[in-house]
Amino acid sequence: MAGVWVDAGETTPPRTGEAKIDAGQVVDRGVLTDAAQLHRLRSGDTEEFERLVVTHHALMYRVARAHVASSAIAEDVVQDTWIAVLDGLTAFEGRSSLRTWIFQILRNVARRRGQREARVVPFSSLMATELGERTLPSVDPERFIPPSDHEWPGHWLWPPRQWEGGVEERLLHAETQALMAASIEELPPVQRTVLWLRCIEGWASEEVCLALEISAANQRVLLHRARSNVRGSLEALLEES
Amino acid sequence: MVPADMKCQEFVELVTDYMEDSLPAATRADFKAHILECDGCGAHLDQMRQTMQAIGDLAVTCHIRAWFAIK
Repeated sequence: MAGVWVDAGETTPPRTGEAKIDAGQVVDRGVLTDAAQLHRLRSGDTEEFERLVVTHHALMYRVARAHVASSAIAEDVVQDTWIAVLDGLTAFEGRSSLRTWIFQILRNVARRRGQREARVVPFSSLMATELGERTLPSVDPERFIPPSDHEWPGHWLWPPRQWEGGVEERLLHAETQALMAASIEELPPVQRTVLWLRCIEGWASEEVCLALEISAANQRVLLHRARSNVRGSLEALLEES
Repeated sequence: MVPADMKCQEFVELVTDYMEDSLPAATRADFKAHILECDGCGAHLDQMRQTMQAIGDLAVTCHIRAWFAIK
């Protein structure tokens, strides 16, 4: 493992335990396609580096923002990360994809910065709070037959209906999209970041676990909560009419 | 008839584990059997899938990338 995660003066110790991901076991689809890009980056190709920045900067800012107290600090964290990436490129062994490695560095820079700022809520405690809410139901319990029922406790009282016949188009309406954007924005920060990476950036779950340093099981809990929240908002809107 | 061994209220908590293929084999079998016999849960599962799709579409149509970056 030594040298795999080159991250600006700090090494991440190998992690063990069934719920955690071993970086060496991850089948990372980015590895091969990174080779030519990595070669150009190492030989100081500034256009290639600019492309890298354009691709990842906004998302890095968003992830950093979940770690630190202000947008100014988040910008600093992203800048410091790019400097560390430039410094670390020659030592990067390419055993993870480039973007996974970059987000590992980002997380370490953000965490160090977070520790320095007393008023900052650390990412780990944000996550603990959100995971503490795991017992919150995905669907309003009132929609199910109560446990006291002898025949069908826990089965639907008011089942969801199929979204069909014009709903596809309605999902594309401005009103629906505004509601969806609002319900994503209202999500707790870690849920929102997981949903974003999986749903919009199209990251694999293993990659999200590595970048945010969360277990596979916790990643699923966070994704499930986020999905369920947005589904609930959409259902409420679509059933209204 | 709805199978008695999985309640709808349990089903809705397992949707993501099912979609991520991380349910134990026996639970997965119960889950799939439940879909076949329960229209409400079938609709719920479809809505969860449509929600994911809609969020992905939102990114394309609404320039949500910019929105995401400035928040």
